[in-house]
Amino acid sequence: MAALFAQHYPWLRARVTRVMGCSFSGEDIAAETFVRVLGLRDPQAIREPRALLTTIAKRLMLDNWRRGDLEKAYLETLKATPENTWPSPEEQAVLTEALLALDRLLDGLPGVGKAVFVQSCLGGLTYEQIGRELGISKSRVQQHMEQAIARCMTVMAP
Amino acid sequence: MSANPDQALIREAAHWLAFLQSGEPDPAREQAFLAWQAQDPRHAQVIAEFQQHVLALRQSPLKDVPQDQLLKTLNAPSSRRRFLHGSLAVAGLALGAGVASRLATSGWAWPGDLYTGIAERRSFALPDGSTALLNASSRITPQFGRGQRGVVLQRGELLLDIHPQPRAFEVLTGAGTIVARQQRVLVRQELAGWWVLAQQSPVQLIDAKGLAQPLKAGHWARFNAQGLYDSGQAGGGEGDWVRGLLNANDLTLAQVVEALRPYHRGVLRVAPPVEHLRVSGIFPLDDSQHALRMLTGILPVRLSRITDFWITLEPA
Repeated sequence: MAALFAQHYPWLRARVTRVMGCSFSGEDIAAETFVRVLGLRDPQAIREPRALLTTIAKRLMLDNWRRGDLEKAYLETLKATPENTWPSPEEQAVLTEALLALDRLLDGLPGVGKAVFVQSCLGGLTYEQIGRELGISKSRVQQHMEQAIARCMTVMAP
Repeated sequence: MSANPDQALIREAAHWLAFLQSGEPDPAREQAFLAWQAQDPRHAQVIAEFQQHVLALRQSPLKDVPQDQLLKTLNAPSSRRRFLHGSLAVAGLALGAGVASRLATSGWAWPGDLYTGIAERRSFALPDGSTALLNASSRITPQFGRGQRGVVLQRGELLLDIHPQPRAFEVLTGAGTIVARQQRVLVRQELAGWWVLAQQSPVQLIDAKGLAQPLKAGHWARFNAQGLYDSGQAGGGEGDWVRGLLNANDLTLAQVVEALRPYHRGVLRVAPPVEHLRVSGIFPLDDSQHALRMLTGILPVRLSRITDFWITLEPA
């Protein structure tokens, strides 16, 4: 593992830094990529280390961008609420990770599909109530739900 | 290496889960789902994995975020994707506008039917001056005009307070018609058929074969497509759901769970070995979780939860 690190770390850091346009995040992401590789079940079996490192690093970069988008959008929605109800910075950090996890599950669905999934799974509303809220029929709600669940299962699959 | 669920399996599983999530109990299709799940261990596995993810979401800090905030955040355009394909973000915006404009014109999606959702009881004034009080997860179709006076009980349970008129009031069910003249009648759909109680005045039951059977005030009857098969004298607690209570007087556990089901979100099952345990007591309908905990206190049963959506009462 040490050999793998010595051989590929500088290469990966340089690549990530170039894409991210920032050496701090480049360093972070390259390091995190190696942490992920250590977590793999059988790191010795890696045949094409650079391909694997690139895949993991790309994933982390996309997550990083998306995390920033979500954080910004969430803070924007907070502006409409009284300041004393805002979550603390620590709570916000935990929340952002949860938002990212949910966003990954629902990525690629239309806005209505996301709304249906959130209102059903998190809000516990019936399809009738969701349909009334969104102005669509109950059977459309069920179709959106089916699509959303299939999407989640595809993302969840290892 | 774990086997990846293939797309066909995912599509099937998504179809069943989307159905189970609807919030409307449908025992027949729940049975069909359980049969599908039992066909193949991969079916059960993919369902359990999804349920665990949903449970994790429901226990995450996201549960405290107001849903409009959550959706606005999730719909935030991706800076990466905006950079790569600017046109995608525009398509998303156009879709959002379409939904908003349809919102204003909804509100008559189910013309005519009167219904209640999970854990909701509601009283409706009927055109002839009678009142219909619907238990949770129930639906009726009023039929008035052209010489008709009555309702079709599509699902659930109904307490009628009938305004006396020369024309009789009819309650149509899938296995017969109840003809009433005045005062209170209680009708409910059960797993094996229908149940009717003539609370204050006698009623007449006309079964599927057209045979009329009188039912005295204070008596109940059970009937199905083959006709009347059981009857007896009312115990007094039958209409307690009006006050949000289930008054169980020596019922089976299966019957108690049947009464809780319209108030419970998700799948609620009773393991066959404990189905026939006898239960007496008064249970709160509006808090089905509490009622379930009460059952574990008085019977040798325990709650097995796969998720909050999926509870089975099992031998303790």
